Amino acid sequence: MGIGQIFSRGLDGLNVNQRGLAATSNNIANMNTKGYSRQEVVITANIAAQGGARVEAVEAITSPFVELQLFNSMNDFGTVDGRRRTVGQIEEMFNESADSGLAKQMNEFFGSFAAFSVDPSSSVLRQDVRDRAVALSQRFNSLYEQVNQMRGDISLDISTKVDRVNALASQIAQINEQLVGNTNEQQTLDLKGQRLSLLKDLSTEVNCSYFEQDGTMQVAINGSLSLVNGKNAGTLSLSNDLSTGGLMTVNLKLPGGPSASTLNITNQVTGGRLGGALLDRNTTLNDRMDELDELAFNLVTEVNSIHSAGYGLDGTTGVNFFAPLASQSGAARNMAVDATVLNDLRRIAAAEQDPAVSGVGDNRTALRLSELQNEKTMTSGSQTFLQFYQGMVGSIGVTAGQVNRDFQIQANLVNQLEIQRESVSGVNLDEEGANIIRYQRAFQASSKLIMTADQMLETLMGIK
Amino acid sequence: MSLRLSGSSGYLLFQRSLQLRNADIYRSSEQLSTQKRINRPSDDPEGSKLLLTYRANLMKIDQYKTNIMTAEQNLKQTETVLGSVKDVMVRAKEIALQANNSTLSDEARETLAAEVSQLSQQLLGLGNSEVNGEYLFSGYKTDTAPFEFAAGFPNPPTVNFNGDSNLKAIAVSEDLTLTVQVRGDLIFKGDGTAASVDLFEVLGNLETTLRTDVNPAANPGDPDHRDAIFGAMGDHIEDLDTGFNQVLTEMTSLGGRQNRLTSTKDFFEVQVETMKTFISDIEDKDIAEITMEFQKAQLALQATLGSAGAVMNLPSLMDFIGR
Repeated sequence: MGIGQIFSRGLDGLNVNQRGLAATSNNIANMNTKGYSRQEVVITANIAAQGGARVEAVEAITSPFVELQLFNSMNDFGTVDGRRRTVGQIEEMFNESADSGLAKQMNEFFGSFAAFSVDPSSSVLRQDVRDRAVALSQRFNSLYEQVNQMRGDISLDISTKVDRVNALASQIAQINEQLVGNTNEQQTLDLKGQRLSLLKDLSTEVNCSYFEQDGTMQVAINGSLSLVNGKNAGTLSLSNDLSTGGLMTVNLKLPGGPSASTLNITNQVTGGRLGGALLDRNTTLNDRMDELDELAFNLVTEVNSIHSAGYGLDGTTGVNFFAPLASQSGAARNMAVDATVLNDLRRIAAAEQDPAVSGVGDNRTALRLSELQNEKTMTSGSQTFLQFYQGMVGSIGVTAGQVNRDFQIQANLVNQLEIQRESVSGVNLDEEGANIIRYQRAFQASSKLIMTADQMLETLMGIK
Repeated sequence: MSLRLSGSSGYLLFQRSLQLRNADIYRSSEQLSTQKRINRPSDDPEGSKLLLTYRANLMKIDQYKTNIMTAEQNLKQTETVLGSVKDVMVRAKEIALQANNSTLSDEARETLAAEVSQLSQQLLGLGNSEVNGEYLFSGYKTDTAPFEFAAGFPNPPTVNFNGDSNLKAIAVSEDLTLTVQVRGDLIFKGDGTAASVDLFEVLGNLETTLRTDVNPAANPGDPDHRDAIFGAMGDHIEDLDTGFNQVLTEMTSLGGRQNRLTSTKDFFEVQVETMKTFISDIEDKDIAEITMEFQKAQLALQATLGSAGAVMNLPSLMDFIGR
């Protein structure tokens, strides 16, 4: 072995350890980069050169298993996270724990008829009946409006989520493109890390899966609907289908497909924040509105059918107490006390016959109206108004409780997995510190080697 | 197992812990301020449903109790009036017995006739009694005075009834609708059978008999005339007894209704207490317990903050390099 070889091995040492220090400095720089995986240089003996060392590769330290688990959990987490605020708000709207609410107002309404039946000629009691009815109608109206308003808010929320999915998909496609034929090792490594991080973000937003094909990442929604294909990204768009009760539709333009053709993938978007929000928008809130409508419609119809058969103090009959509703749809929004009753208290019917004949003390209709609250008028004669409403509040509570619990579970799970991920891929300053010393010392030794070889040569040269 | 720790894993661990501790504090402080275990349906969906039921029941009972009060007032007033009617019958019978005596002068009988006339007036007044501005005995026609003298009373001894035969009923509980009126026509004017009498007719006839002279100037000392008068008086006394019983029977039935009201009211008192206990059991939380939980949550938060601060400030190898 010649002195020249000592030179070249010293040089190898300088190179290799310099690369090591570069990786360490990269790690320290990215210590707080979300989703960053620490990198290590793999140094091997340079067999081809019959000695010396070379950098075999720069590797990112990851656990594919943990990454996949995290990818999947992020999706479940996203689903409940997307629902949590909505179900919480619905719950506050229907919160009867506070001593006011629809149940209380229904009780007061029927109670006013009970009081009215005691003295049907009293104008004070007539006024009370009317006022309670107005209050009840307004409560129905405002509850409906609140839910409706919320539906609008979620729609807006959904459209920002769709934008986010589109942005993530196009970023992933861009990285796919940048990776094709890229020979810069460090850049390739960083791009792949970034792509993995983006995939997890995407999974939080929508239920999707990925697989690597020819070095590029393929992403599909719900397993089969391609969202990213090589350098092409698909686009999600929204439309509001008013023909089906104002349901919101998600459409997908396939990657690289013609811009005019889209697929309706609403039923396939079942997870992530988008899936969660979509579920609340199209199912939960619509259900609540339908239930409110059903309750309002039945209440108005039942009260009217008894009231219109009765007689007012002025002998009128056939008067509707509430303004008649054309259909159940929108009943809660349109519920109102009939103008006839509103303008003339004497038209409120307490009597079963014309009071001019039967007497002003005839209270039979008022009595029947007050007893309506105990009758099973809802759900094909199996529930009273109150029981129906209780069922509503109960299921709202159950849903909210479920989502809150799921949220805690998923948040814990994601947190645990992130800790596991960090324990594999995270940057530890002690380790990096040790690496600095290690590479520095090796670098110093390699320099020493070169210096020594130089001195040896000089010694040789000095032989006279 | 020993876990490789990176800077971020410690951060993640403490971040989640702090989130949980803060949620505990929020929950505890909410319970502390409301002193309730259930602050929204999801806190206990089943409990929330029960609360709705119990609260609705309490409101209904409140309404029924108001109705019971009105019913009691009506029945009480009716009872008082019928008691007075009974007194009128008693007094009329005393007069009839007193007059059923041949030694009584025609002048004295005239005085008694005048008192009977007063009694008729009094009976009419009782028949037209009101409670809260409504006539007690006129059925649904609560704004119409039920009784009025026909022209010439006591000749003919007729009082017209302007009320009706409907009776007002009000709901006093979920399954009890109680009649709060009595049939004025039946009590005061009888049902037309031999077992009942028209009270006004009896008094009118008594007055007429009393005003008929035993020794008319045209025909003094006619024994047939005398026998006719005292015979009639005997019939009046019998009729007054029948009338007395007629009123008494009605008063007994009133008593029955009042008893039902009282027992319903008592039942409600027990129910209200039970419901309130249920509600409290379901939603209330013991103040000592909440305070303790709050303090525990506070302590846990402080401990987490303390350890996070300590651990995350641990020196690393970096602090020693290059010294």
